[in-house]
Amino acid sequence: MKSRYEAAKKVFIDSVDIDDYIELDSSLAAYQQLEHSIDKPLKMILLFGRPGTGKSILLNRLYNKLKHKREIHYFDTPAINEKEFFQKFFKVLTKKSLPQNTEVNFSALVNYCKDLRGEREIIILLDEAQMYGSEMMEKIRLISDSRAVKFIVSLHKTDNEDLVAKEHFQSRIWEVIELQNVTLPEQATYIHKKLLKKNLFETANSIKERHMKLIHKFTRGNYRECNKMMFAIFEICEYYDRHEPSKINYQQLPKRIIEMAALKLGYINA
Amino acid sequence: MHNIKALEEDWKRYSRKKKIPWIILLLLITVVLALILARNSGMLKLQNISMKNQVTVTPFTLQQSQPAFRDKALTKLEEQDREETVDAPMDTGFGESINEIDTQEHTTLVSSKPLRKKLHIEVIETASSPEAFREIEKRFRLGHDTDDSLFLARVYYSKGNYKKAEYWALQTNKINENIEESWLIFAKAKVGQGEKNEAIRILNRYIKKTNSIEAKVLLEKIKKGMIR
Repeated sequence: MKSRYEAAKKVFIDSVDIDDYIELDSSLAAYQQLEHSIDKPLKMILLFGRPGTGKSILLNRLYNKLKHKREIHYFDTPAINEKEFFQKFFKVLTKKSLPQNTEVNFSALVNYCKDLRGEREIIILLDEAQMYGSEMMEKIRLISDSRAVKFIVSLHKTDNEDLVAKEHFQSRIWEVIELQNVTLPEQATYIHKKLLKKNLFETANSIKERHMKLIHKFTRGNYRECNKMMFAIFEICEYYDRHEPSKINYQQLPKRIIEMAALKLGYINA
Repeated sequence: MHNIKALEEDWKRYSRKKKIPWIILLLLITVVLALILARNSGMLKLQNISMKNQVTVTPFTLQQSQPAFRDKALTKLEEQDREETVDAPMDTGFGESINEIDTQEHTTLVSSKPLRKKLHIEVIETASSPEAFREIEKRFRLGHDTDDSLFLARVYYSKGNYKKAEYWALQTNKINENIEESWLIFAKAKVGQGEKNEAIRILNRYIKKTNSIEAKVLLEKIKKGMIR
């Protein structure tokens, strides 16, 4: 027998799938700012925020919205080395793959980009940019100086990466968009919208305001943590629904289950 | 999910742990309340003790601690002729003698210990500034209350101001010659001023009249030089 919580659990599998995108006021504002920035004559745009604040899904959304209108490319996974990155970049520029056992001549590449100025405007969405080394970032910066290629760089905000951002981008980035964890009302909207999108009205209705407060307290409004938490909650609910239905209240989510999920994820300790 | 039972156990532990601060808080509140209550009751006790202490420092200590003697003294004094005074002239240092004490307005021993006085004594004892003493002196001159004069005699004696102690003991005697403590302070103040023989003479007279044990004890002490 299929549990009613199985579908709810799946809703919160963490992904950057555009279909899972939930539009909130804060994410809409960030998106509009990003879209507006692209139209400015900027060389680089930094999308900045702690892990799980929705940077990747925002880039993904931007890519999907503009891919038919503009020359936009999404590098969702960072290249493992410089060679791989320039191979990918070469393909973007020339629409041809680099012949085997050959390498990109960086100076020639920069000159090529300069020649493209005024003819093409290429937008590269670079996710997880903290994975790139400082040397690599310098080269990206030199390419962006050609003004033919615009980079939108997504970077995790951690203490160390703050430093990276400071050193490599402060003087060169012309626009910084910072994403932050969401507020309690926004997180509640996010959870409800996610469930309603899959027609899980009763499940959405069983999560009351006090539950939302508790979830927000544990996850601090972080999307990724929220997804993890909701997944764990519905996983526990699913177990009770299948094996011990007397222990679950279908009308409203038991607080005990939220705390059990928090224990499971290590937000609290026994 | 196979580890749900372990998770349930963890949750039970967490739930218990979560209650601990509340239990501690509750205990703390209880302890604080208990302390406040204990303190309040302690203050009441202290107040009672303080009241008792006042009683013991009044001239009626002897009456309370030695009821048998008090009764005897009372009876004897009441039987005696009120006109009779200590016949030997006593040098008071103020040009007066005990013989000249006006006994017309003497009150009885029983009526001379109004309870309300205990309260004002407490206030005065804590405010030992000269101003406070002046206030009592002023009040004494208006009311001729032996509690006031005896208090002053007692305080001045304890401060070593023997001349003033003698004066106020005499003032007390003028109003009520049956207050034993004023006689004793008078004698001790004399000793304090170097008039030991005078003190012995006064005490002998008093003992002859009242057969007071306290006076006898004091006399012995003076003779042995234990009072200076």
